[in-house]
Amino acid sequence: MRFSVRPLLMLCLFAAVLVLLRQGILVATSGVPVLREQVEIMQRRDIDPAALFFTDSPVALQAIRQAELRNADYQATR
Amino acid sequence: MIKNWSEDLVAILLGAFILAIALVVFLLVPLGGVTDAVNQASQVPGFSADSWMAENQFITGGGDLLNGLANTSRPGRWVTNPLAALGIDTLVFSAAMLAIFVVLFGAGAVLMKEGFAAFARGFLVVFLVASLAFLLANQREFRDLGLGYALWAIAIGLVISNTLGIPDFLRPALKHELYIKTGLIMLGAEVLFGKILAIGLPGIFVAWVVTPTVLISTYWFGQKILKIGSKTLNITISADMSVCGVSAAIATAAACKASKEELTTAVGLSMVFTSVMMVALPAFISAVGMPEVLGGAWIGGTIDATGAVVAAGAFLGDTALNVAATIKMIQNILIGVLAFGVAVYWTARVDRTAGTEVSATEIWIRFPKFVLGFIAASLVFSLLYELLGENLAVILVEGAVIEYTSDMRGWFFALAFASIGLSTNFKELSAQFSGGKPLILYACGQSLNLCLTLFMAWLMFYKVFPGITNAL
Repeated sequence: MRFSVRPLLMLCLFAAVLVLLRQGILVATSGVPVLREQVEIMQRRDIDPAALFFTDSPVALQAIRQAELRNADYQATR
Repeated sequence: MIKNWSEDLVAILLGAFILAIALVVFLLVPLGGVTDAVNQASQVPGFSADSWMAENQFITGGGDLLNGLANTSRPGRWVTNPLAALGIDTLVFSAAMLAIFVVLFGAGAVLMKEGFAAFARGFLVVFLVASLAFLLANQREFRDLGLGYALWAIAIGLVISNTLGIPDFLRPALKHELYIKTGLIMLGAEVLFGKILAIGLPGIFVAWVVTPTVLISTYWFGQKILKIGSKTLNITISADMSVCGVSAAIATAAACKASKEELTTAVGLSMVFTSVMMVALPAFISAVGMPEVLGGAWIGGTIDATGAVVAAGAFLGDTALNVAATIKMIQNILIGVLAFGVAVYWTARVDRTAGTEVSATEIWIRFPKFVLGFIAASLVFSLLYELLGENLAVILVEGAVIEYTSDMRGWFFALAFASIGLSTNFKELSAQFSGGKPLILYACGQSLNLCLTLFMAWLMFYKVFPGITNAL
């Protein structure tokens, strides 16, 4: 089996990109107040911004139930 | 007896099997005990299903084990040391999950007249790529930016296939369509039609009138103005942008039989735009002093992924969060109609030879049957949800059955995107972006979406139904 350096280099490059991406996010988060505030809220409320569907997010499910209850109360009092 | 099992039928069989197990373990077994306990507890004023679930351990034994398998088999969260995400329990559950998937999908391969051993040999790599995707998605900074497992599974797969190459033994396990279709059957169970009236008519108008209008307009724009060569790429991006991001892209791509490169393009675009909009939109809403209900409805109707909608809504406040999440949920439910509509349109109109009429039999033969499984799962679970009554439905269907099946569905989609990444060539993928048309399509469609959603939200919540707005 012939050894090739190229795949190894590409994998190292991928790992380096990951590290740089993380550092970039850290710098942006600490430097941009809006971003920092939003990240703090997400971490405090345990929000996963990558959730694909409403059933993937416990925070979304609770928020929906709140809205449903308020709407039901409103409809009942009409 | 079926002699030739197609991928669609195998997906329906596997999906139905997992849903049936979930119904028995998480609904039928605890039903009696939970019904009595909830009936008693609900006599107390201020009872809420959420608090009851938090205080009572009502899933035990087999249910606990299944939840552990679906959830703990994924690596946990970490900051700088990835090994912190891999506890002994994760490794044990991961190995068990791998064995279960090999048996399930291996049986599917046998039904499709393919070899079990050939499938099992390659599947380990697909599973490892999916696990690695979950690991990266759970890194704190990546998670906060919304870089989910779908993106990582594609990226890792692409890097491996385009550097190390893909050995022949791996190919029988690269069944992205089977994994996607099985995942979509599970997703069907989460599409609960009864919930479209969660906040009354304003929600319907914002999510079910604007969204199809934007979808059709964007598709038309792509065909007539941009002249995008592939109709399947056009509809996948249009659906992904107008409905709910990655999940809509998956459902649409499967319904119109789009290529894996087209799905990857749509998912990539959605993730990039979502990450930007998640930060920019609430910042803009705050800056101009827009009311929370209007801001929430705007966010819910325009940002693609549910998680990003929740994050952006929470940035504005609790009311905005409640409205944004509810509008997005109502939009999520549109996926069922979307998949069915696209499948019918593609079978009857797009795939026919010009100038010929297509018979009903031919439409039936060409129709992607998994869509019927998806709709059937949705109807069964919607009916079940209504029959159980509010508290039991929230506790047993949402809090137990769907809690488990959505974790399983996450695994299937991760396997699908890992397969897509492992079988995609960089050159084929970059060809999708020729002339930047997909990017222009997404940007123009999203601009229309932003304008129409804002107008409809203002009209419905402030002019037509101000009473609901005050109640929210």
